[in-house]
Amino acid sequence: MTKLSVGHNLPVSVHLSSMSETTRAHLEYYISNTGSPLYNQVSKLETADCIILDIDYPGASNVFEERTAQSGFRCIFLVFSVTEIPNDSIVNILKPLTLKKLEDAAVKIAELLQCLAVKEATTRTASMDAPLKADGLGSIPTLTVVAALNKTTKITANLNKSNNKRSVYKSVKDRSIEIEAGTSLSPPKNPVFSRAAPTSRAASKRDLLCGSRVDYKTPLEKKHSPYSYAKGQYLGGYLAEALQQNKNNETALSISIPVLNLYLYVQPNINRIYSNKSIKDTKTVEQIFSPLKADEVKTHFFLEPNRAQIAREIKSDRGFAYSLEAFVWLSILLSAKGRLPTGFDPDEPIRLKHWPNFTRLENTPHCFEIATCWAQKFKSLNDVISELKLQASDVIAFYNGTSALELFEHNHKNMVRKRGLLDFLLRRSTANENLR
Amino acid sequence: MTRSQVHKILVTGPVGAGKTSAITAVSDITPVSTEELPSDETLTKKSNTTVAMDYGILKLHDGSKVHIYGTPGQKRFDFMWDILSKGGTGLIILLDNSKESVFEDLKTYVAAFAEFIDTQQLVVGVTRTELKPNSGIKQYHQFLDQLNIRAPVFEVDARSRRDICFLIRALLSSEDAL
Repeated sequence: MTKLSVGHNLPVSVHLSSMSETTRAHLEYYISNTGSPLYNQVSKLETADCIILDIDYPGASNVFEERTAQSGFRCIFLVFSVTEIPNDSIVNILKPLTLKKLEDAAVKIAELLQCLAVKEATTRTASMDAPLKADGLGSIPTLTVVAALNKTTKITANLNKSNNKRSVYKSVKDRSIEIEAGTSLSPPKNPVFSRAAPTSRAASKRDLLCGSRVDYKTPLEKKHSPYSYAKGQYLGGYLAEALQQNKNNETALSISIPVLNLYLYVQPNINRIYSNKSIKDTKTVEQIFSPLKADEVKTHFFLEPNRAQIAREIKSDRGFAYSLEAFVWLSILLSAKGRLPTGFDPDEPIRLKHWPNFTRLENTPHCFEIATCWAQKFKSLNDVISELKLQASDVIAFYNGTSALELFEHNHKNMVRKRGLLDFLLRRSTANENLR
Repeated sequence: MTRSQVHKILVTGPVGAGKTSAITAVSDITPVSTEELPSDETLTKKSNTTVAMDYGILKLHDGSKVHIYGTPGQKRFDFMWDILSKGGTGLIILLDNSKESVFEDLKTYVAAFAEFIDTQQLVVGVTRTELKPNSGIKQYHQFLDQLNIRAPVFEVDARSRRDICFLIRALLSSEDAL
């Protein structure tokens, strides 16, 4: 890597990474002409101060993750994207690309490199006797598992559309739900059932969403404890149940868990959930996606929006807003971790009524293939696992998230009609009348 | 999973839904666009409008290519829709969520491409969802149910290559399944 020195100036050494051929051609032309005082293109990654990539280009996220996962890696990223990616080691350029933006970015990169050089020099001086710590450039990049729930926009809760009064929330910025790959969310692992430690961030993400235990033996059986989980004991289950109860009204509701100091306010009519705690916080994530006791969770349905109460419960200056759909999806995945809900029949045929909104939900492994397979006709979980030859936990994770959003339909023709007492009496009465 | 080497995908939708932006975002070549200054009420919405078609190419990792054709959004150019749809293997309908008439638009385009949808794949992309808070994609699902149509529906930013690639990927996955 380039040795940083105090007083680092322009031009910045850059390496062009993941991007389309068109963008690459434009950048190379720019750097070799008007941009030459600001940028100097290098072919070797190791000699670059800055890596330029288009985060929307296929594979770009993987490049970013791999580079930052390397031990001792120190580099700035100049990222072209549609929305800003908050990270200490990223300089953002929002599309469309312009000359002015490239010029401004060069100055920012130079300043950042200057700061890093000073920091590095200070670290070396301060720790002469102590072993050097592997200090990254800032917070661990959280692109590994980026739910991309919503773009960063100002959200104004419109509690009453017909009312022109100022809404309670001045502006609540959407926060992407970003989970760090190294988060320990699972209970202490049983060495008999654990797989080897993940070697890449993609594998870490998979373990987070689908679990890290040894996979189920297929075909699955209905009785498969200890691998099943009781959905109703987790936040995702409570939330799904509350939404189901509120389905016909779609008025606001709140869920509070005082023991965790967690308060959620839900507005199904605008697909929003507000939390007083950030889901980016690792400790919060660990707490809220662990099993909960029934008496720890309090649900309240608002008949009419109560602004004063809402303002008290979720303060707008600390409010975090998320897409409700994405929150439900992710909470179920992180709670279940590739386990089937208790009592689920893996041989029951079901069909995908509608595809999950993959652009705004955390993608489970092979989600497109699974969705395509399950959308064609009624198939059981075992059918899909066998047809696609995938790991059972991958298909189960997809099933858990999708069923939480009620996107599956059952094959009613095959369902045995349950005959109740009233039905029996009615048929008996009809039969008696026919005999007269 | 086998793929044909060449796919032809059509992107349609009302004026201002993001068709040109989508093709520009995803094309690996400089897209061909046929934009001119609008001469009708479209001028109040945007400074340029497509009068014939947009065209771009997306190159896949397996070497195959996706030819993407964007239709003009204005109704008076709808004669181009039939011409462009010939030989197509998939249809993307982009909708502007911020418009009051978004569901009427969906109905219009589903009807206009009914024959195509019967035999080929359809994916719906909903743009500008951040401009008008509503209950999400669910209402589009409900509307498609009323039309008796099954198709993936995704929220997209037409400027985002990733989002548009998701639409195309869903189309190609469904195509391979046939």
